[in-house]
Amino acid sequence: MKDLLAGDLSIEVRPSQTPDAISLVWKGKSIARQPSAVLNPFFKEALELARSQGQSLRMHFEELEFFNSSTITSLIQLIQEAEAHRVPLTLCYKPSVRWQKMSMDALRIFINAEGVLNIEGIE
Amino acid sequence: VNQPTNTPPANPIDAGSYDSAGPVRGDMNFELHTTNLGWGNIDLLQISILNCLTTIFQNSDYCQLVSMIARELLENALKYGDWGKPTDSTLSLHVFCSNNGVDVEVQNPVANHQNLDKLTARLKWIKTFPSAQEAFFSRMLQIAEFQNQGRESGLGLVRIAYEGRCELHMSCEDSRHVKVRAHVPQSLV
Repeated sequence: MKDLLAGDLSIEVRPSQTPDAISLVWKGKSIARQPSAVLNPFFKEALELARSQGQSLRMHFEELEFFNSSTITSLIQLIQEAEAHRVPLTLCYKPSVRWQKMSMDALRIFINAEGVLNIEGIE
Repeated sequence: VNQPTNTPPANPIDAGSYDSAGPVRGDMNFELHTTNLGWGNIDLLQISILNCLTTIFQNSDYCQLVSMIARELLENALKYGDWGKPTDSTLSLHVFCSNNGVDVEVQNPVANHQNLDKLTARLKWIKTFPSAQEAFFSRMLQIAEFQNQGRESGLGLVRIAYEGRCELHMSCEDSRHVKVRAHVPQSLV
């Protein structure tokens, strides 16, 4: 799977330090008018890869400068797809960055008993 | 942007009120009117506003927050404004220090009352919740439920209200232009 490069945003595919996980490291800014046009196909490929290899996905936002509200919509769709395909998904963020904390705190409403979604603060 | 001063300005900001944001070192009045704002220029404006604020406020979280709010309002204006009439397609942005915080105003032309009604309804909807946080959660759940098929996400304004704990106001000087203002209280960070 190739890295995503789209405008001000890059998402690097890295071997994870956590066993059995694929890490996707967000860098730059996700500020496209319609980010779903590039994010959704990328997420689909990542989910299919993780499912076929029996791995989980770890999304790292710690180095990301900013995402706009349209990106949040794509993340909600990713969470739903991960649940539908039973692919464990962890969103990692930097709690000391206020906008990251606020956004991730809000996304916690999608954590449920099935345990597919995990949200992890990393300093 | 006024040059930083050693003494806090008497108006509009009383530095003594903002312990969490640190000393205030100036005043700000950032105003822009343009007929040619492309999507890519929003980022330039966000950075400009952030830089201006950083010369005044020591709290970088607050500066980031205000610039994010300006960005979301500008994105909304470009998405939902009426840019089809070259003779009447001015976008106005005004960021200024106000009582206990910073105000961000964006004015843009709109095509019809339907768009105004939609905006009015969105702001009213936010106010139906006990808190902006609950409104934001509710909107996210709606997006998940309907998978946002062919729908506007509608997250921009409610995100502003939630992350900025902003008061949002809308006004129409005439039937052709709408102005949205967000007051960002400085004491929240």
